Amino acid sequence: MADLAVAVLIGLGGLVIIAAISLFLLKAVSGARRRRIAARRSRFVDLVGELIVRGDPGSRNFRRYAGDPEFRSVVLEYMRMLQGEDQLRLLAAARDMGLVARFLKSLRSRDRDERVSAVEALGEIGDPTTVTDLVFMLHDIVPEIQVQAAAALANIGDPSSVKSLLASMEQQDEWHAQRIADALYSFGREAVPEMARYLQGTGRYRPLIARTLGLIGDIRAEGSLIQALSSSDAGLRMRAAAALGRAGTPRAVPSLLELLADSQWEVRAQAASALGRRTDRQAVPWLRRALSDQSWWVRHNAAAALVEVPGGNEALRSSLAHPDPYARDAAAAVILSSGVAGEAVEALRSVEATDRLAAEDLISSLVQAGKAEFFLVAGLNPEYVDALRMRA
Amino acid sequence: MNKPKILVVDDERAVAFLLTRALESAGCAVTALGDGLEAYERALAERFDVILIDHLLPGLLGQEVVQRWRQAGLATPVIIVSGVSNEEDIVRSLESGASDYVRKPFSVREIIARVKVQIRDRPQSG
Repeated sequence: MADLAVAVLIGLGGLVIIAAISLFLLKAVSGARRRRIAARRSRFVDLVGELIVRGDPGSRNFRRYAGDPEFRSVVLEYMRMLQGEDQLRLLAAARDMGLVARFLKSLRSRDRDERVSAVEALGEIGDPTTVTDLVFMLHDIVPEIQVQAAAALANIGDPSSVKSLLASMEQQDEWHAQRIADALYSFGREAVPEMARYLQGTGRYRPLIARTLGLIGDIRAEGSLIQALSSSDAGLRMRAAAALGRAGTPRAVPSLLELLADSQWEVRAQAASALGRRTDRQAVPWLRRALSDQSWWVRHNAAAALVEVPGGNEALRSSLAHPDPYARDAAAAVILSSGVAGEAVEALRSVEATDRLAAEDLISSLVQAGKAEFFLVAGLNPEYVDALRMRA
Repeated sequence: MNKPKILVVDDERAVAFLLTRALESAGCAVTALGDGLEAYERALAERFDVILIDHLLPGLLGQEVVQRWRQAGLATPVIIVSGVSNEEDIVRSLESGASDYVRKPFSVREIIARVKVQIRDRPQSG
């Protein structure tokens, strides 16, 4: 029995020793591998760096490294670091080295990760000759690759690919469509004519494109956005109104005014905000009417818009005596939040009698509109506030 | 005539190498370091004509190093090279005592030109 126990112990001890030796060897091998990679990377940093500094066209000599992931990563690192002529020179070198061809080949790989990194790399390299291949990747089976291809195309910035991006967006779910819209936004003005054309069609992501056009803010989209205001799609009308608020001209104002009578409150609210941004005096009577809208948001946005429009503040103050209590409340709430009421409290101490009277008029109107609490909190005498409430 | 002496401080080896080689090609003698604290001590111990320093260094931020140099009385022109390029950051860097600020990605020619401007405009001692 004792012999058996000794044998087992010896066996176990042997196993522990073998495991320890294996672990040691594994660590040694992986450490050596890491050092080899670091040394190789370091060498590539020097080689490519020299190439950039010398502007040497002898980059064909580097073709033998084009398959090495470390080499590719170093070239991309320099690509990110540089701009202007240095970057263009490196791009030409990347072509000479066969690096671009390598990445293009990887686009056809069965390995998803290889395709992803190839698309990313081509986006960073930004070679205009790769546009057709990247457009092809917009049809990849993996949505992430399609989105990555869209970003790469945006980085290259060739407007001929915008139409393909819009077409590929149609096949996406909302999240991925938003990512493609982000890429279109990165294109900026170059993408506007094609996006404006898309807006006139029947594409399912027209609201998203209307929003993106508003963010880009190019006047060339105005006609399509105005047209979109009469769409049967409320989401599109809303986004188009917001876009025109950001980037429209006085030409958009009449259509936005009409939108204040839209059947959907979200659209009316957006139209009111947009009119505030357009700051056109003719909007004042329309916005004043909108203070009686059945929706709180519309009333609030109309009141806030009146603060921005020339002549709107007077209309807002006169609305404190509006026959509709909801209109009075909307006007009073915006006046209070604008800071004017606080200034009026200060002005009560003014040495100028006209300032004091104007302040008292405003406070009285606000108190009568149901905002006495504000002035009590601001420290006015309750009896004085009560007297103002009674003042006709 | 002595070569202008430049100190390059960047923990990214590729950036440090590129700036070093580019400045050497432009006729400068370059010392490259990757650590803010080491750079701080080296610049106080040895005279440099211009210092190029990365903003995001391990341990000590570029602008903190510059601030300490200025507090220690070092007047050498310092150019901060940074991938962080918001207005706030640029203003803070210049207020900390940096002479100039270059955004990454950069143009090698532009950096060399900026270094030459600092060498040309530096106050002559003696």
